[in-house]
Amino acid sequence: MDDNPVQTARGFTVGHGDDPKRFELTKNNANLGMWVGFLHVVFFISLYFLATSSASILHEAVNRFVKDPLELETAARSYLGLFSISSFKEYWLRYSLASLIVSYPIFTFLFILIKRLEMKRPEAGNFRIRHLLIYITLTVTFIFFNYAFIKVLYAYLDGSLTMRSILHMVVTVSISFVIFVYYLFAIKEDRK
Amino acid sequence: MIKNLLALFVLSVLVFATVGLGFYLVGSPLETRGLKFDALRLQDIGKIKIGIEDYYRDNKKMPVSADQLLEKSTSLVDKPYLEKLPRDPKMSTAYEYKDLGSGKYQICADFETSTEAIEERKTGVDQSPSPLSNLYAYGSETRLHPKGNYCYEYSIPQYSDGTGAAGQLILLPPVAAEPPKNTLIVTSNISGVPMTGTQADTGGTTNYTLAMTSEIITTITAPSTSNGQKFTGWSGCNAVGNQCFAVVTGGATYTVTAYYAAP
Repeated sequence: MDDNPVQTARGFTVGHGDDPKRFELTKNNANLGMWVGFLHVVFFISLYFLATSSASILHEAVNRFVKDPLELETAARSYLGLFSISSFKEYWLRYSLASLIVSYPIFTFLFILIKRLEMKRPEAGNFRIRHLLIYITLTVTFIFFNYAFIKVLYAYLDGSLTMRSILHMVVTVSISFVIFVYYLFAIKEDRK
Repeated sequence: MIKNLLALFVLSVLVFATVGLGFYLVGSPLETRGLKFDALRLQDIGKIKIGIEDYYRDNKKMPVSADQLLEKSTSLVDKPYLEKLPRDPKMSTAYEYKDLGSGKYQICADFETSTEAIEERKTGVDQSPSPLSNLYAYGSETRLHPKGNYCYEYSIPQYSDGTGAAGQLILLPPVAAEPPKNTLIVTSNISGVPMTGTQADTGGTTNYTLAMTSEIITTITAPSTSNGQKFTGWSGCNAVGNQCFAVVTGGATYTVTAYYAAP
């Protein structure tokens, strides 16, 4: 990887006129796009792992600490008894915990790496793959957002609106909201 | 960059809190491992239980020690009751078996976890007064156990005795059914009338009840006068004069009444 910006413009250019984020394709930085693309793909994957696993743990915590008498009584009458509540969730919880522990350091490392690269070479923030991933993330978080509200409304109509379903909504909405807002501001920054 | 690092710091705090929460929710890996060993122990106890029931069905007695389950079965072709005696998966010690007499027996194992404590952790419901799942779940009585040495007590079901229908869980020794009783109730509209009967023990003073396992075939004779009142007739039986012919069979109950009136 070559971290030194190349001043002499050769070949064709990508970007807008005298924009500092303008990327000029030269012999020396021909791989920058691939590198930035790779970093962003891996970074966003670790972000998705981070968000889903921490959401899973928080959802399970809500299930554990906020009791639903309907669920408990149904489970108590089932063949497995109270084990039926948690046998599947336990596996999912362990996977989530493991995935959170693995994805978080990767996420942090990549976050710092990308930010440093963007500071040294502003043009690194202007690749299409980055924009594409940001817009995909915005769309996905928006869908989660919508889904959480629909679910709560459904629970209300279904007669199963409890403190628990509201807290589930809060977990989903707050995680997707943080990501959504962060990238909305990132887009705003890009447009400056 | 400072702003980004600050955001990263806040995120780190949240992630560490979530990881801690996650560890609290899943329980320690050691406990989870113990739970898996306990599941194997419960399986083994189930196997020994089936072996003992098969042994009882063939021999009409309880095995003295669990080793007798390795003997060849008389009903299964060339097969012992148990191919191999299960041993504790971790300690590889034998499970304790004890004959308690009258078709009851115990199988003991050393458990590493307490079912109640785990259900409590997993569901957040206090299990100590009465385990919720124990109230309704089928088979839960054979699954609940405390931590440490615990003995499950079982009874030989009647079908292992070859007398009851399969699946009929009546405990041994089977309760002998009482033979049906034939009942004759002799009453009168005035009390204290002495009656005589042709069959032994069928006389008495009204109102009285005869309950016999043998058939009642008797003639009850009412006195023509009693307490200054005159006999007028019988109801509930074939009567000739003051004689009432009563036949009670098949566990039936009949009531006969003698009527008296002022002369």
